[in-house]
Amino acid sequence: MSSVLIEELGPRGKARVRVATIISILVGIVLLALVVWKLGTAGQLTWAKWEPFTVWANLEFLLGGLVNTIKAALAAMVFSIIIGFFFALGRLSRNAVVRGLCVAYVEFFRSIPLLLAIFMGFFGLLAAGLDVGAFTSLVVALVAYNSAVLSEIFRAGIKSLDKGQTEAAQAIGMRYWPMMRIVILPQAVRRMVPAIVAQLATLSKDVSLGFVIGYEEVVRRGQGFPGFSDAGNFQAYVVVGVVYFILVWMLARLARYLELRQRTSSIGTGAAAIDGAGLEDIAALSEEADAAEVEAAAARGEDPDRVVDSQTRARGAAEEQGTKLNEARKGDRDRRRGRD
Amino acid sequence: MLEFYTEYWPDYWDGTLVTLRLVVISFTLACIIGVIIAGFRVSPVPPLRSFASGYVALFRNMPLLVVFFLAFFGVGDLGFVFGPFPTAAVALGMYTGAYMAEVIRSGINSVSSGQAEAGRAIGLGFIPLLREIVIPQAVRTVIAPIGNLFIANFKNTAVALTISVFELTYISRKLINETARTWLSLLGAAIIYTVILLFAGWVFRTLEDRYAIKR
Amino acid sequence: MADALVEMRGVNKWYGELHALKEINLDIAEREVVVVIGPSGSGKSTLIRTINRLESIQEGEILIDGERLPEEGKGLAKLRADVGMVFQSFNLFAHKTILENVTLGPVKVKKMGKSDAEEKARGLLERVGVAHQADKYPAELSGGQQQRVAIARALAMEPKVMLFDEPTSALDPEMINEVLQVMLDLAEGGTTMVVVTHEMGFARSAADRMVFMDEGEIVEENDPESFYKGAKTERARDFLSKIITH
Repeated sequence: MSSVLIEELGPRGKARVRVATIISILVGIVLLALVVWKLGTAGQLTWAKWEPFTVWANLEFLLGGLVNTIKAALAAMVFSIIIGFFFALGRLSRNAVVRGLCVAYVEFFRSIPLLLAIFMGFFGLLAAGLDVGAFTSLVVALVAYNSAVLSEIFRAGIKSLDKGQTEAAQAIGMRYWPMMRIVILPQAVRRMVPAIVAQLATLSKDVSLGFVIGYEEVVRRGQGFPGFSDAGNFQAYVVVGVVYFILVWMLARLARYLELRQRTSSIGTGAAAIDGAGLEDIAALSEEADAAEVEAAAARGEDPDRVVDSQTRARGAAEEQGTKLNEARKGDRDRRRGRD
Repeated sequence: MLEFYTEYWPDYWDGTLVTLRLVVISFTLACIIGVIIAGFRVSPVPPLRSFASGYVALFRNMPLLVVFFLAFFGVGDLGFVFGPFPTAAVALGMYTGAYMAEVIRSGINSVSSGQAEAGRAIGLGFIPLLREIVIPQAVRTVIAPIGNLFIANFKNTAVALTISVFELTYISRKLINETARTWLSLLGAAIIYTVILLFAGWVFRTLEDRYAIKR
Repeated sequence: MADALVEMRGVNKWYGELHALKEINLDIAEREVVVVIGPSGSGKSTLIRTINRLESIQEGEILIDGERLPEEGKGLAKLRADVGMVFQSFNLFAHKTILENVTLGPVKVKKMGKSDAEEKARGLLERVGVAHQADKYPAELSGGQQQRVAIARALAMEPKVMLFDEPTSALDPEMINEVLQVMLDLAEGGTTMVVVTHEMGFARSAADRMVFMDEGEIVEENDPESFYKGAKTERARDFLSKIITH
């Protein structure tokens, strides 16, 4: 194992790693035991506290919350895409007023907390005489918020398309809108699919904030879990955490898979789509850090798939592969030299 | 409209101070945790690497709200009893710390191994290599993502209202109840958030320019 | 050959299943120039990289100036300072100026004073013909210039031996000669060199010895004239026919 920081270890290094391994495992066991013991003495591990989770009707109640979570996330996603797309076009518009309004909208919703947007969607609409209920309020807020983030992703996606595409379309006499609809957008959308799935993972996490306006999503259902008398039940949140973990993890995996597949099918073009886009968003950001890593590796001539567990890869194999790339060029030169 | 803000300015000001305190403490904590976890993640010790990946995965795949509730209702049972503010600061710091670790790790990995090899080849040991080659090059790539993390962290402070921290968003919610002037209450907070973030954005852009100039 | 500068004794290396270096025995005398050639994947780069332990070995030993190559820590760093290395992809420190690239080693490793190091660096940059670029950053230089700076950077450590790992393979054709010329000058000046390259012109005029590798082993050693005219082994002849004809 050799990385930027850690080179192949000598015998002393290996011995040190062994010692550190043993110590860290021991420390881990001790800490874990301490947590279990503390929870046990606090009575949190008694069967009575966990038993409600074995009752199917109770779980159904919780999973109903999960369905509500996904419902809100999907609805918000669909409308965010549509609205975000128009704002992206607006920001690329040649009309300065349109552009200015779009910038103001995007910047405003990118700089306030989502919770504030949710309060606007709920109390704000209520004050305006629109009693639309928690679901609609939440979706409106999520759409307002996420369309701003997505419009940035779209804008980057549209701009990343080869200028040649536009020119080719113009050359065959297409006007702006048909060109957008037939040539630019289908390509842009296809490229943005992984970023959109990643955003869906973020959205499903964001739906949890609907809690504050009483939307019956999975956290709210966890709080009101049958069989618990007090509001602050630790066990329910553990279960909610597990449910969320599985959901978000699967979506993130999917996004990653789609991205890698796209990268291998169209090296060098698909990659640019999400670059510098919805950085604002905390989760998208980290996905992007990974993406950058994969990209950097691709540039070094390594197989992106392997980067995922780059920690364990053998340097030598990479060398063997890397040289293949240069080979044709080099052989060519050698031959030329040989002739002289 | 103006008299509304002159009247309730003290409330907003209190909330702003709480928000700022929360963001400073949690972000500092996030930086410390980020460095440690990233260090674990690139270390040659397998259990530390697994722990770090587990930590990052855990916080990346859970909503902040659940983290807050687990910290608030769970940690008390471990024998530590904190008030809402310290709980929020620690929970948020741990949450952002997971993302910070990823940013730092990818910053380190963005330095090509050829740079490190060249450093080793002229006889630089681990520490000088880190100081002279790896860190200076990694810093350039992480400033922008760290700026974005700061912004996200700043906005996430609002979630602390769910465990009764009286920060800025809480204040606007409270003013809705007290004054029934919903939009004015909400806009006041929105404007303060926007102003602070504009300033933070400017600071990070300046930093980025300063460090990027040399290439 | 007890007075060899670099001695490799029974060196074996595996990458997992792949036996990358097989029983390598190689002595390099002081002031000797050894050129290593072989098909890609033959282990020639791996061989040269084991000499300053950028690659570890599993069996055998490597001695530099009679001293066993340490496997880690301060001892290894100290020994590496005595072995100059030039990479295929230059690997100049991207965030430092040309001058800083050359002074970094002397200042940080050899604890030389900054002004002394700079004076020395300017002299070396003069020697490789890029003195006027001293305050630029690597990205602003051509490949050939970067590689010459890389040579100066290695020379600044006053190494006992210089390793060149395919120094011209990543260069555009018109830049190859400027780098080879610098290397030729070094060879004539008596620098001990181990060079992985396919540049026949360089091998013919500078090499004291050719080492042909294939599939991780040293197949043949000879002086360049005899090697190119009449390689003894089938494998070497086959390889030579591939790079010379057409």
